[in-house]
Amino acid sequence: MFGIYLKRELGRRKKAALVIALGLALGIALVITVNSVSAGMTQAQDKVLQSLYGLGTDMTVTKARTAPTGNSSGQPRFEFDAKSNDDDTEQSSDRVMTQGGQALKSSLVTKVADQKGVAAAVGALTLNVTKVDGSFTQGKAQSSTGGSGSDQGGPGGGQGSGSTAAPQVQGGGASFDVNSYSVAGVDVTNQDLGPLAGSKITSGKTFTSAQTNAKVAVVSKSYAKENSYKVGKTFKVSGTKYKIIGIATPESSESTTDVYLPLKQAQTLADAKNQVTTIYVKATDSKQIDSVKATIQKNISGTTVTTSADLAETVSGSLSTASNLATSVGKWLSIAVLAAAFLVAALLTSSAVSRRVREFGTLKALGWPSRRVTRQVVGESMVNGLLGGALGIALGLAAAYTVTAISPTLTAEMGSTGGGGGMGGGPGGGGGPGQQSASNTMEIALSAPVSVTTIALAVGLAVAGGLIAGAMGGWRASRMRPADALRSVS
Amino acid sequence: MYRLTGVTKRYTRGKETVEALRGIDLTIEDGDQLAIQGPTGGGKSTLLQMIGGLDRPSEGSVELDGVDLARISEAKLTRMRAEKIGIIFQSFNLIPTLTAQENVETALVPLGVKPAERRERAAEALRSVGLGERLSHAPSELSGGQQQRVAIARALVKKPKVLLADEPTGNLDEGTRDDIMGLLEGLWHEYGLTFIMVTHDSSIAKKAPRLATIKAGLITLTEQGAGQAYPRQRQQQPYAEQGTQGYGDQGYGVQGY
Repeated sequence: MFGIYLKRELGRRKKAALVIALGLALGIALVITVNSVSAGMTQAQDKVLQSLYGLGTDMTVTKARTAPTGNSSGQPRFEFDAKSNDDDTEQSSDRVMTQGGQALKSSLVTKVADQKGVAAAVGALTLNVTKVDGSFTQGKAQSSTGGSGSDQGGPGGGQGSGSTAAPQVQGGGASFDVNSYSVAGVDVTNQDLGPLAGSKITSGKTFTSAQTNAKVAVVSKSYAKENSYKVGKTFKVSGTKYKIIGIATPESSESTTDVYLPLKQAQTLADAKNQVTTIYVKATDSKQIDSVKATIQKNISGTTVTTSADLAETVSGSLSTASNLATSVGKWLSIAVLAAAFLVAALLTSSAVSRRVREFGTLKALGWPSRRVTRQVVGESMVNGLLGGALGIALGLAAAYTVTAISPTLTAEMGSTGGGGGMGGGPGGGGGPGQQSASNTMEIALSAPVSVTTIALAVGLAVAGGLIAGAMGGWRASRMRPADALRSVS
Repeated sequence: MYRLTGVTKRYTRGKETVEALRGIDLTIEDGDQLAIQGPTGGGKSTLLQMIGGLDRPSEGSVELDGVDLARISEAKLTRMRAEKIGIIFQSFNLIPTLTAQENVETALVPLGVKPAERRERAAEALRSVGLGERLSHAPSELSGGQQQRVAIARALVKKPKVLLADEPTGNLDEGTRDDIMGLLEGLWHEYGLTFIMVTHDSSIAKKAPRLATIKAGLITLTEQGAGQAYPRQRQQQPYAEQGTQGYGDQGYGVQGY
């Protein structure tokens, strides 16, 4: 009887049932969409943070760079001798600079690792290599008997003018390419943490723990493609030849390091023996990150400890805006719509019960206990709720699928990583050596993944919606007296 | 047997208190037929509600077979209604979405009767009131008289001890009224029910063996004589063979019901 009665009643009140179901569907669809877009935002932010940190890193320890002293500007200086015009030989020069903050002693890595709450600590040296290569030719001195023009020589020449017979320097000049790339010195004994942790070796292999000072390199996929590098090929950094043993593809969409070398090799190149620029730290408990940060800052003075949360705060741009929108506006909007849907469902159910006074009164007069009448009302509400839930899940999935299909591009701008910046490194190649640009921009395609938890939440909300509406209607129905059946005449 | 003692019912509307019943004393023997008449607002429907266990008196007691309906728990009162009391309403009060058969089944639901038996008994009850061909019809597909017959089948399918009717012919035309009253009279005789009916219709009221007139919450009883309209000896005869003196013969078969 319960099923037949329920089916017939819902059939009779199709419009009201549809309004209730649609209201709930809208709320649930919004919750799914906001949740999935938020999850997409979190994934996008994680990608940004991973590109800066590497996978599994909870925080980094760096040291702020001090202002350059004396005449040194801290910028690389290149010196080339001009050659004769007949000499086509290209000249090349590399300048290796440490990137990010001031170098830390390698011994600090052990000290950090010993701190309470630290599971692992790994040091890395981030370098920026600027390579200049090209030809620099001299100007030629020529005697002239006239002419009023002025010829301009190249950098190696000079400027001649006037109409005297004095010799003039003509020709000469320079043609050169500047190539800048980032290098990370990796602790080959612990690659689960550090710059290489966020990448997957897609060709060749990674370093072995024995290759602590081997002249081998892993290059990023994008850098390898740009320079036509393949596993087995060699390339030079500051005159030292390195053999490529692997191609690394970053898990995140952006590559921040172009070349990975064993830490000792990187230290040798940068003339920074026993020094690192960044210590990557993994905490034993991800919930204790703040206390671990405080411990490190207290026990190791002069260092800057940056957690993912700190880093996330430096992310701006449309990703940040959209993320804020999703977490604030989206969250409150979905709560508001859901609350409104629940209220509408409850009021409509309650109103439907009021219109059925005679019906429920009659059933009670026939001897139906209140709980049976309530069960009937709650049952009808639950079906409405589940119908709304199914519709909402379908709508929400469609919306999430649409977002993923469109994949709107969001930009993430990371805060300053310049000389005084607290962050160790940052996406490489953002600016010139020495002074990095004020911010680095990453473009990330937004997706809206729908998790099982989100679906479970939607089902839970549908059930809750049905129960809330049913409870209100059922409560009214249970309070109805059988005498009402006699009084109410339609 | 019903025994009402000092039944008073007060309704409070805001600051105003209205006494619908004032110290009613009434005894109704098993198998009696009592018509309740009176002006609108006089308290007749309120009295029926007290008798049917649909409401509780403010004061006094309503005993049915020694059980005071005013004092027992809500659950016991509900059970009492389910088992012993059949009710017929002026507006039929059928569930509009259910078929005639399903409507009759609703009376058996609280008794825990299994679905197959429920369907069978409901069909039989409908056949007994002449609606054997209308089992799957919705109330909207039935005439007023047919709807009231469904309501009668619903009231009687559980084989109650008491049949209460609140203006059972109030919404029917004269011809149909006679049909329905003939049917009720026949069933009363057939099953020895205690039949209590509220009616505005004097022609119906004066045919009842006992007449209770309610005015301003007070009752006046008139013994009109048992068997005046419906001789007791007819109680033993099948309803189909009885005819319905005074109400027209519809010949509804009640055999086997």
